[in-house]
Amino acid sequence: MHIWSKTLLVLLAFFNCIFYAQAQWRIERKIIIEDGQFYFFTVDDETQLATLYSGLVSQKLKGAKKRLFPIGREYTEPFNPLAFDINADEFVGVNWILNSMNGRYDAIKKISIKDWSKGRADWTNEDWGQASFDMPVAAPNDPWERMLEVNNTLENCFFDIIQSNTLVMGVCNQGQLWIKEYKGNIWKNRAEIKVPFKQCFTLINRPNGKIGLLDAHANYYQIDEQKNELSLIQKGNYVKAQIVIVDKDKKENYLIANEAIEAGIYNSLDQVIKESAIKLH
Amino acid sequence: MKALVFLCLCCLAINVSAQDFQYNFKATEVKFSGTGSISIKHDSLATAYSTAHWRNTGLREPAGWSSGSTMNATANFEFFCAKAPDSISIRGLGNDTINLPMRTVKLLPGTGMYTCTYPVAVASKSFANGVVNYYAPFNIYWEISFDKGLTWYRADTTDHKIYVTKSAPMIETTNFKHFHTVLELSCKNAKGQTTDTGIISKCWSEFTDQIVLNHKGDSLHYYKNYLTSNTQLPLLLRHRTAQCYTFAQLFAALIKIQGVNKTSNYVFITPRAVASPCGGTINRFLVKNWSFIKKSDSSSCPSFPYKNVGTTLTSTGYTHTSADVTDQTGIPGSCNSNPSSFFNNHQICKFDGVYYDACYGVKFSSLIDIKTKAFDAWGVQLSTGTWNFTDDLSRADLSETITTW
Repeated sequence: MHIWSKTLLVLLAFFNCIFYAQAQWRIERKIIIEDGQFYFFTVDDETQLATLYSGLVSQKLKGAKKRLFPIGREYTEPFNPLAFDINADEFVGVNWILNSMNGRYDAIKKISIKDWSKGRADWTNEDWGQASFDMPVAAPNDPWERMLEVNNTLENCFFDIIQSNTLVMGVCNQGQLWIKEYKGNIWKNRAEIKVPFKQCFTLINRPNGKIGLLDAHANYYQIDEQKNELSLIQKGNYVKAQIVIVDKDKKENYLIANEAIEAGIYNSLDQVIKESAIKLH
Repeated sequence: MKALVFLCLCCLAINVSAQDFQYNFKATEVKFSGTGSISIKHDSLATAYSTAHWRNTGLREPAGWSSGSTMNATANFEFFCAKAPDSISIRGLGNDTINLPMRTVKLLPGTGMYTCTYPVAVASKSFANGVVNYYAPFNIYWEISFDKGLTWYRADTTDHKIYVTKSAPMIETTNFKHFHTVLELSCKNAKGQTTDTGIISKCWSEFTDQIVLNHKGDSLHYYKNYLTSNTQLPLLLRHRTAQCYTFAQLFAALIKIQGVNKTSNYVFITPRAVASPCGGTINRFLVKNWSFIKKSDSSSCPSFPYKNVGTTLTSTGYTHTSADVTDQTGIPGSCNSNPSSFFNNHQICKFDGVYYDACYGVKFSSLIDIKTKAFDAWGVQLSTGTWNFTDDLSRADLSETITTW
């Protein structure tokens, strides 16, 4: 190889490493693709505030637009990432910021993404926090309250939320998982399942209309609402932290290592998915 | 004859003299180590202190061990003498007869003086087992001998802050680190304690006067700024103003650092989600004292007749467009005579069935006890920007969510 080629390769590797180190996106739980746009969040562990990244799936990831969003979550162990979904410009998610003014019963919020597309440069972190507490409530957090009625001592307690036609929330505590659906302004039970989870789980809307669940080891299950059990679809065997890609345009779901996203920031998300993502059945 | 030769006069100025010659022997650095030593973290950075615990430049860094452990120490010295021997013997005498044994070391020529190193040595005895201790200071009296320990001369003293925990501290987590202030407050207050109950009781005494200080003596404020969003212990220690969670975490940390393992110790309290008769969900409470001036909504909402409109939280208090209920000085918090007092939730500790509110330095026997002794009102939001209140505390109760911190 010519010396100039070698030099160029070294330089490219050097700059790639810098950008890789500088990017450091710790993506919360999942990336959502809808109408050719992607959306994902990162959360600052100290301020607890979320930053929304968005862009076209066909354009380079590094060009993603980012802005603070009035939602967040606390960082305590055991860790539960931001629970959210996005449909037709509407964000629905659980505002789990730890603050003496943030009520857990009113924590399930719905927020128009368009309304928050512009930053508020003069806002402090406290302003953002207060705004998040005051966001409209999508549904009362009865799944959380009912879980506490069964057992108000939290141990391996995690939750997630998804929305398609209806809002579905999963809450687990001390090895018991409840799946509930919000329909007609009331919460209904979908399933109650014994689970061995010691880390967070992620709910997924499967193409067949059923609810899927990914555990922290990337084992992929379908929730069997008849038998109240988890049916294994795909066994996970991943060492690196995985996130879910929910492609609502293609009605497909994928699994990808967080670091693959960071390594592919000079590529489009489409390209990164082709090269590094694993399809969830 | 050789002894006489050895006793030649030195020409430098002296602090210590022995026999017929004069010399100056001083410590320049001391480092501690040993099994059971605690890696103490800076409050502000959560990074460990450097391995040098004492320097003659003024550096003083704390050291810690769990009880029953044995201190190891090494030290560097400078020796000023016109004609020094090849070697000298050094020993250190510490508190509680925890001594550093004699070591004979070579003197190495330097620029205008000699240097020597007391090599890593194990102390003569361990820190007393099963008991908390707090040395402020732990003095090491360094002595030297020119005749291999027959005659000793006091040469220098180094002073140290040493913490001894009852048991090995619980393992660090994201927000629980072996912070300097945590060790300082825990060991200082619980000194001499041998039981979990005793440790909890003595550590609690740090909070009962509503003056909680860090290891430097700076105040740790409960809501110095009403707008503070600091909710984790590292942020309290770094910024010294924070919300309730951090004081509960601090108290729990003082217990954990002693290796006392108490589960279900961290309690989140909030109004039980019930609807108010006027609509909405009761989701606020007022901590004493608030002044109830008039009942603007006595007709439209007799159960929650007091109404505040346009309430805004500022860094120093509350402003309203109109207010039937106004904040007064009431229950003081840590280093704050009138902290924030309008909340959705609060965080306290629970040990052996007793609720400990570290923000205010008060204990409660039950959730109802908290409501009746500490609250003035329940609140509900009936429309945007408007809060209605009732001083009838029977209209709602607290719920508790229990975790282990």
